[in-house]
Amino acid sequence: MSASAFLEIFDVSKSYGTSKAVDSVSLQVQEGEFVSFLGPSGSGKTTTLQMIAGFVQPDAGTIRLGNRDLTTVPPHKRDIGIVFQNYALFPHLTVAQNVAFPLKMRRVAASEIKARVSRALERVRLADFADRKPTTLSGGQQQRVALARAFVFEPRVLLMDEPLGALDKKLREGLQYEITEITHSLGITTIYVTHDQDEALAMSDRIAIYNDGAIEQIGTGRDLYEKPASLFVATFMGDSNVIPGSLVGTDGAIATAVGQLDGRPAPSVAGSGDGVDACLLVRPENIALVAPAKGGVGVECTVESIVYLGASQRVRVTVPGLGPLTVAQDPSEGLADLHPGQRVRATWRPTDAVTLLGSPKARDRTPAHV
Amino acid sequence: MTRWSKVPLVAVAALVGLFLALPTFVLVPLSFTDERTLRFPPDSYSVRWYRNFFESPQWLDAAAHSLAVGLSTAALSTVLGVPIAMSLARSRHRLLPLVNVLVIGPALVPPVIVAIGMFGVLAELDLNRSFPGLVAAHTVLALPVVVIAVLASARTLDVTVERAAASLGASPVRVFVHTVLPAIAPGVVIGALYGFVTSWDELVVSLFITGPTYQTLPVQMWNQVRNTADPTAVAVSTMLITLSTIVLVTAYLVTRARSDRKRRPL
Amino acid sequence: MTSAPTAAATTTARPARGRRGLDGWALAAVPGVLFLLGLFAYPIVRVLLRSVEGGTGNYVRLAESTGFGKILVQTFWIAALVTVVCLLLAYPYALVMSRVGGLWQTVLIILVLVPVWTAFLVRSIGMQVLLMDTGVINRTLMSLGAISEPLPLIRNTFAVTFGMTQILLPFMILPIYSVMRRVRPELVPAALSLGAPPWRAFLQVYVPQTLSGVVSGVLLVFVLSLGFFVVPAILGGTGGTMIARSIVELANRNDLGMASTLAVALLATTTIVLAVGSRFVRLNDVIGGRR
Repeated sequence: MSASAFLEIFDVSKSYGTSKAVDSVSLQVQEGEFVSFLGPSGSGKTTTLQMIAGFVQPDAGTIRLGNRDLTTVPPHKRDIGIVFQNYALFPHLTVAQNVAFPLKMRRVAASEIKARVSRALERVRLADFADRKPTTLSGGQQQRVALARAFVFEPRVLLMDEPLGALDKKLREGLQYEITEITHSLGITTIYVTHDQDEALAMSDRIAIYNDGAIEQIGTGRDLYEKPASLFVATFMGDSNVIPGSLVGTDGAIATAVGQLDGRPAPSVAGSGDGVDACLLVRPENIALVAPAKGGVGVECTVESIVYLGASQRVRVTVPGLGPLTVAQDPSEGLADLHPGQRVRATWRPTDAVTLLGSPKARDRTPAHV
Repeated sequence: MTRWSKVPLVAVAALVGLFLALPTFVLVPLSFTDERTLRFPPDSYSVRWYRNFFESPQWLDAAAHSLAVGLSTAALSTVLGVPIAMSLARSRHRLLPLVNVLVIGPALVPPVIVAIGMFGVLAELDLNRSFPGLVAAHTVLALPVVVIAVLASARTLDVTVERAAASLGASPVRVFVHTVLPAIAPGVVIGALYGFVTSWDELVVSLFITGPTYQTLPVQMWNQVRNTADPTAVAVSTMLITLSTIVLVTAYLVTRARSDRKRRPL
Repeated sequence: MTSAPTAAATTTARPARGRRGLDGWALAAVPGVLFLLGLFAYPIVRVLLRSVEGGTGNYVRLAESTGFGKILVQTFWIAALVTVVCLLLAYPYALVMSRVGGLWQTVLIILVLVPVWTAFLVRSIGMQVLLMDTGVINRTLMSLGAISEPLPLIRNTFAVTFGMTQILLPFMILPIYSVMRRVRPELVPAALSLGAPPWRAFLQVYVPQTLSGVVSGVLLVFVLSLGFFVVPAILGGTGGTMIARSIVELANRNDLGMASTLAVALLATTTIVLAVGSRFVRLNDVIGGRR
């Protein structure tokens, strides 16, 4: 598409036996951009990464980096840095020797190696650990060594395969910040594989949502959250309430068990006729609970439970004939003295509801957590 | 994932595989020769050398002695070895590193040295050329493999299970019988098997401490082949290879099934 | 007994236990230890004493005799040669074994394990019928017309080296294989991604991960070679004599003093080799690789 794309993946496919691991994936990444591959395990994101790295040969399609066709270039000539989930540090080498490894392979002069290694180690705050063996470091420290080793030779692209997957949550958040800070200041193009949506949202310029070997949608986190193109993206990104029904007209209205509801149609809805399976997606934070007498778009329901979470509270309500909905609200706002068993009305602005094709599976209808 | 130049590598591996297999498999056709001297390929085939084995009291006695000594060695080395292995796994006594050296020593000291020393000691005790002497000597050689096999099982044992059993009121002996022994049983069985095979195959020490009146199978074979290849010895060798292959394949399949069940590689 | 952390210097991590000097588990080892002291340690001490019975005459004889000196040198030389050849054959075999899957891996493993479970003597007999003048190799070559006279394959140093290599090869393959199986699969890809050509990734990243297996195998094969008796005796004829065989021959001639002296020389050599080797690997693991 655009001639200025730095890394371009065009119509790449890979099968193992009869199962398609990656099915015609195309993607353009600009220079300096941070793109995350987000999706469930087995959705093809790691296989795509391995094809970019050169460890897996695509069955079809091409991969170009800065106008050079990479498809048949062996891994060691690609000039791509990789951070592995298990760090992949060389246990027989010290921290400094690990970081020096790519420079030695490139026959950089010894004095320059020394300077660049110590700069890189300072960058990841491990200058004091230069002469230690990797196995004596903590998981987070090892991953920082792996990061230093991957960027010290100034690769054209940095690939990270769930680099924080083995670490605990607190450590992960600190390292997320550290990684983006480094990649942005170096201006290095980065592709980051994860199955953690918070991580993808916190770090990326753009996110590619993988499902079943293909990219379902690519865009900024906000795009994906507010304008999901498919039910899969909608339910994968954040919590959502999904109300099943069938299309009425072409303006996004659907007929449900509790009557007709309006929504903003996703692009894929255009061209589908009356009666096609569709559903309405409403985010928990976009629903307000009001007294039953009040009007507005929404449904009658009964409060089931209230969970106080500090900054917010989650209210679970039951809609007769439809099932449960989740509402996220500010504890200090809305109806005072909310209690289980209370009859209320759940309302939302029609522009906050998105109409999507398809019918939810039982799993998708229940919010991830209440 | 990587493509190290594979063709020469596989070719070398195939040749090495052939090298490993050849000396065992050439015995099979030659054992069926009908001739008195071994020649490849034999001009005519028969089972006369197998018959010779089964009709010769000398060969049969040797096999019976080997079986008796082997089973006794397996039993004695297990009885002595299991407690040693448990000590090495559990106790923190300061002399245990020395015990460790003492136990693995017989596996690393050349058997000739054990043989010549054992000969002298058994002579003092007047036990040379006797069944107890052979069992004692073979047990010394079998202990390292028995202890290491049991130790491998004992190391995977969780001490907290024993502490839990003790806290529930089990006496130390009952703790051992009810929690430790079932857990190390596979190691004990493998250890006992190792002990038997060590004795069954043992030649060098046996050469010193057996005499014409009490010979084991390897000693009998040795006497036949030391100058020139002997057809009966080749027939016996073929039977022994068949036996060890059956034992091995069974053991391999059993441990594979076990490790599949536990999802832990062998 | 409760004061010093004396046991802390042991090689393996043991679960924390009470610090009493003689706990129940330590007592359990006593019968076996007494057995080994009486029938393993004492016999060796006896050999030492026998070698100096009536003074140092035997050692003087050992030092002055060119015959014994030659045998010692030859023993060392054959053991070293066998170890090197075993390593050169075992490394690629173990590499293939650790990288193929399914049926082929099972076949390669069985090919190693069947010899391990077959007596040295039986395999030496196999080698005998392979190498002898009317054996498989010579008769096959002659029927092909490649040679008219049998090649001298047996009763010489070649036969001894060939036979010992064949017999000891599994003891080199197994420890190397067990280490190769534990090499993390992402290390070589990581090296490639960092710009290492495949051969450098192999030599500088993969091989160093397998060194402990190599050391175990080298140590085991070398030590077993030094004291090897069966193969030199059956395949060596008048050539390829090694020290263990000389010890047996001296003992048969009732020269127990000189036999003991050679045994002490062999024991000293073995101990030195093991002492050096144990600085790099645990000896228990070395023996564990035997079966």
